[in-house]
Amino acid sequence: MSFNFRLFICTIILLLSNSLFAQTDSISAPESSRLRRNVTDLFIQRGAPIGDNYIGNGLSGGLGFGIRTQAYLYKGLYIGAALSNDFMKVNDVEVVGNYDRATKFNAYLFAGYDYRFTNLWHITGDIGIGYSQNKNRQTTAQGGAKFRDSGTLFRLTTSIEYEVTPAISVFASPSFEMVDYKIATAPALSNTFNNGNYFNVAIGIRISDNIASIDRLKRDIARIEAIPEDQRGGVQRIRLKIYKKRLARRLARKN
Amino acid sequence: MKYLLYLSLIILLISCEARIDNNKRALFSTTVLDGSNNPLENVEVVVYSGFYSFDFQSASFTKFSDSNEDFILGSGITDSNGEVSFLMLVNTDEQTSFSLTSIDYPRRNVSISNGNYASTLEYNIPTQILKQSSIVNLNFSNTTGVTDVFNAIITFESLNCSQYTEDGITTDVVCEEREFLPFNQSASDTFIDIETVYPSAMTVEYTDATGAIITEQFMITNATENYVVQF
Repeated sequence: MSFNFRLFICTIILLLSNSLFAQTDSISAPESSRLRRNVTDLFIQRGAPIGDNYIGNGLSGGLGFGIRTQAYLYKGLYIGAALSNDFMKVNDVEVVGNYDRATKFNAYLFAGYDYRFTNLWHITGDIGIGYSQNKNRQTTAQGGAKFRDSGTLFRLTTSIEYEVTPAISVFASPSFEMVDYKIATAPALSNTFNNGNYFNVAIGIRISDNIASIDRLKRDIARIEAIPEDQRGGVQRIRLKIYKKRLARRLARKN
Repeated sequence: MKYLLYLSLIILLISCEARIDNNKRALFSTTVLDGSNNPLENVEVVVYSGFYSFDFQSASFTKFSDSNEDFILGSGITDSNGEVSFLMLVNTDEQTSFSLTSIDYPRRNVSISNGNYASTLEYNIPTQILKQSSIVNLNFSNTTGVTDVFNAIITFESLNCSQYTEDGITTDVVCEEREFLPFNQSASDTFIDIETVYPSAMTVEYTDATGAIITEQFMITNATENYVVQF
């Protein structure tokens, strides 16, 4: 099992474990007062290597999968982190080198804006930066070697989303990636190994953790304040401060 | 329960994987000529690290060792000028070698020093000479009626000559092979077949009945040669 795949599984388990071990609340706020606190995307995607470089000329895309999670800072403004894995085949060993397939692993941070243009439809756009790594493998006949090509990832992601329920949406997401690879080459090989571009189209589900505005914040504050002060954990104290600030902001906006 | 889960995740993340050099691509180039310095076309050149084939009694066995030890880093075919150039992967952890394979010639293996090549990633290998195989029939003929048994040392060029190339210079060529042959053990003459290459030279050395060292040299210029050593 590859390190990337294991890292991916670990991240998903950690995210799920946070949900499993955390206290849960029910949300029954009217649609108009619903605000997003954070969302998590689970998606599959089809990536296509493009451009006149070793990626575009030597690899062909395959199916991939990934996870993104984002937290909302102010209205639709969000930041987040993502992991993804894509599986690609080698088309031409004379262009890329003597191996058979590559698994592209991305880990990146992003910031963007979520615009709700009807009650049920959203569009989002964000830019990201992070780490990208192609884990390359030979066939058994080639020797079964593994090695990596890695670099800095720059990514532009968009999506259009339809809310099936307040907590669950489906989305389609075209994205463009440029990877600035750190591959040392013989001078005669020119600059074909300097970068690689990918165009991806993803579909998936978006799980939203919504907050129901003033009523919900008051309930959250009351729940934490019900715990004696000396028994509150660090996270609870931080959450209490944040909730109070948010409540104050929303009350001010309402007045 | 929660800590057990986190511990199992840490264990899952820790493991070893065999690999070749990350983030590297090199360029391999050489020229292949025959024994008369003519360019050789359609010679397959394979660069590998470790050991990926084994010849045993004229049969070739591939991949008999652990697959993680045998990595084919690149390959190409010579053009009409005898030149070949191709992209190759790099493995500085193990000995890098290349083989020259052609229908008309015995296979030749050459080892490369990774030292200077790996730092520049330009594997410009000196011109390689491929020689065709030859079978030499040696006949030890008793013309004097001597009854002593003699021991001959036959020195000839190896069918699968190997060499070592470092920083663009061919060093440590190991092409010479020796065969030890007792002859005149019976009344009949002694015959032996030697597999070698041509053009090359073969020497036969033995000490005669008077104690003198006799050395004879034969030039190998054809696929089949017949020589007689008279004693």
